[in-house]
Amino acid sequence: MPDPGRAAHQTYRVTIPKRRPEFAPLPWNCDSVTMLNVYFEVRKDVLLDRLPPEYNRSTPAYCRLVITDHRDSPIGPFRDAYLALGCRLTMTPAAFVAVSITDNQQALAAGLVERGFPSSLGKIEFEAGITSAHALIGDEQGPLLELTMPTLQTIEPSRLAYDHVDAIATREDGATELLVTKPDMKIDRAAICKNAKIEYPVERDSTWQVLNCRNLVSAQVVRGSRTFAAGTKPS
Amino acid sequence: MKFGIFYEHSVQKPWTRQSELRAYHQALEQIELADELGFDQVWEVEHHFLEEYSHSSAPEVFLAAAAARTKRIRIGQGISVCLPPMNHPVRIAERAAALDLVSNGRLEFGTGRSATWAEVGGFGIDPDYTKEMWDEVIRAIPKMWTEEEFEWNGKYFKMPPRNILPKPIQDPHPPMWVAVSSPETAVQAAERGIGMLGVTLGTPADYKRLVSDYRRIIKHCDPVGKFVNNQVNAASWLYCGEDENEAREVGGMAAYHFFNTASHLVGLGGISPSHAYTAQANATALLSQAEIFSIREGFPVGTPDQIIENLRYWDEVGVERVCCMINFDQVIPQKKVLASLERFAKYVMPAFAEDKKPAARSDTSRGGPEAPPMA
Repeated sequence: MPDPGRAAHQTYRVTIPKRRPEFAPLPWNCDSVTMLNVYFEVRKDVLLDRLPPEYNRSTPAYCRLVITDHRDSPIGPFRDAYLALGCRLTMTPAAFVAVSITDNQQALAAGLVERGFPSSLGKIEFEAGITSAHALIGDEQGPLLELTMPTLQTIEPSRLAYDHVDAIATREDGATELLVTKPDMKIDRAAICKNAKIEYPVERDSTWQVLNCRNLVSAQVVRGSRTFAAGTKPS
Repeated sequence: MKFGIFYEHSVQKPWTRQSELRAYHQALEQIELADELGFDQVWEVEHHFLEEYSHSSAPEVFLAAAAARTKRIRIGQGISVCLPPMNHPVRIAERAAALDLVSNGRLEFGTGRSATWAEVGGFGIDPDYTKEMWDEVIRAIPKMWTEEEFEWNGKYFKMPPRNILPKPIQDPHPPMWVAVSSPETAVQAAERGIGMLGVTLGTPADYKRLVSDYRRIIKHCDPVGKFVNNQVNAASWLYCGEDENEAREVGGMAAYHFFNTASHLVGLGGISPSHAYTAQANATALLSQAEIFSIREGFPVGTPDQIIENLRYWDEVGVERVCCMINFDQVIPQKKVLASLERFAKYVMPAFAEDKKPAARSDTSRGGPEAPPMA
């Protein structure tokens, strides 16, 4: 049987503020969104150490890196990023968020309370033009990961499809629960990049870096609108 | 209608030093019996790096062993991966010809290009170009088999004049096939005058459109080989049980394990968008088709009478050969697998005996030259 994950849900428990943080009610309908999406292979043992046991790894083991720039949203401009573990749940493709970040307090609050991600505050530099794109993710301790997409080729948007994303949220009572966020991106324009590169400017012991890129599979830039919605319990 | 068996060499975890040995040798024993029972073909896949799902990276070696143990059953490379960075085309032609010699002219030569990221990415191949590579290679190989001085100056490989040896014993060369899992490839098979080797464990309904398109288009084909192979081979799952409950329980369990393992492979369309592949790993689409992970309508799983009824559906959509998986690793004990084959041969095959005329290996009225004699 395919290898199951071996991370306890408690691994993903975070500290929730005693007083519920304030944020604009979800869902947030965000226009003018640009998303960088990259798939890359990772070491299977490292992935399994972070994957909850109800999931199985795929062959090969891979991650999905998503960095999104929202130029317009009910809370104003914000950015978020997550690294999801490619996996299978009851035989269907799934992606489980292992680590996530945002540069906005309200997005963080909504993520913690209603989605399970984004679950930490950090910095995201983001540029995406017609011909190239670049992003740098970091936190207060410094840079974590840098994505460069030097050459973009426009493609038909219907060639791309992104699935739901799963994450573990921490409830007010400290218990954890698995939440599913439905596919949230409506793609108007798309481009692929065949020479994308992920680099780790400073060596650190964070999940972003431990799940490092062993072989880049594909990279895309998509533009459109995103619905930043609450997660729901798996059906 | 003709019947065959095919192998992925699935090997379940936990693995021991014996796991792969057992899978290979049990398969050989099954093939020996299938040959005695009158099964028409055995096919073996070529896959690389697909843990549990398929430990079959050297099908020519395995099939040579199968050929040595059998006398009559056709020996199918199902398929040989025709991507120069993975297999140099000359090596493909050489190995296939050698297998044709070893088997006394029983080779069925299947071609294909891989559909998983593990394989294509493992060899550093850009998925966008696999179809073009395959197309170039399948045009070169018949020439390698039939010309004394072969040279090539293509987009994906080049070589100076050489005599590629050995030559196959089948005259002018073994029948050619391509693995088909999409409507596009069914059309491409027909356009090139090669057999349609269905590799999706689908239902007769799934195959209906593919077969219909294939039959219509192959009438006007431009064959890549020296003759047209206009046969259609479908893939399914076989377990001929003692009774309905036993058949569904045992056959269903093995099919479930197979689909479960298959579902953990990363299809190229899923994480590597490419015009050369349709998206295959889209969860939203899969979630609406739970049936694909179980025994499906038309699968020859059941009692002999039920299987006969199911196979009639295949006949109706124009499939003339059905090739079946018969186990997944050791999920079904070897004794039961052998008994299932025996029951199938005893009770099911006679119902299709009237179809056992020589297959239409080629058809001169459909755009190709005269058929070679059956080996």
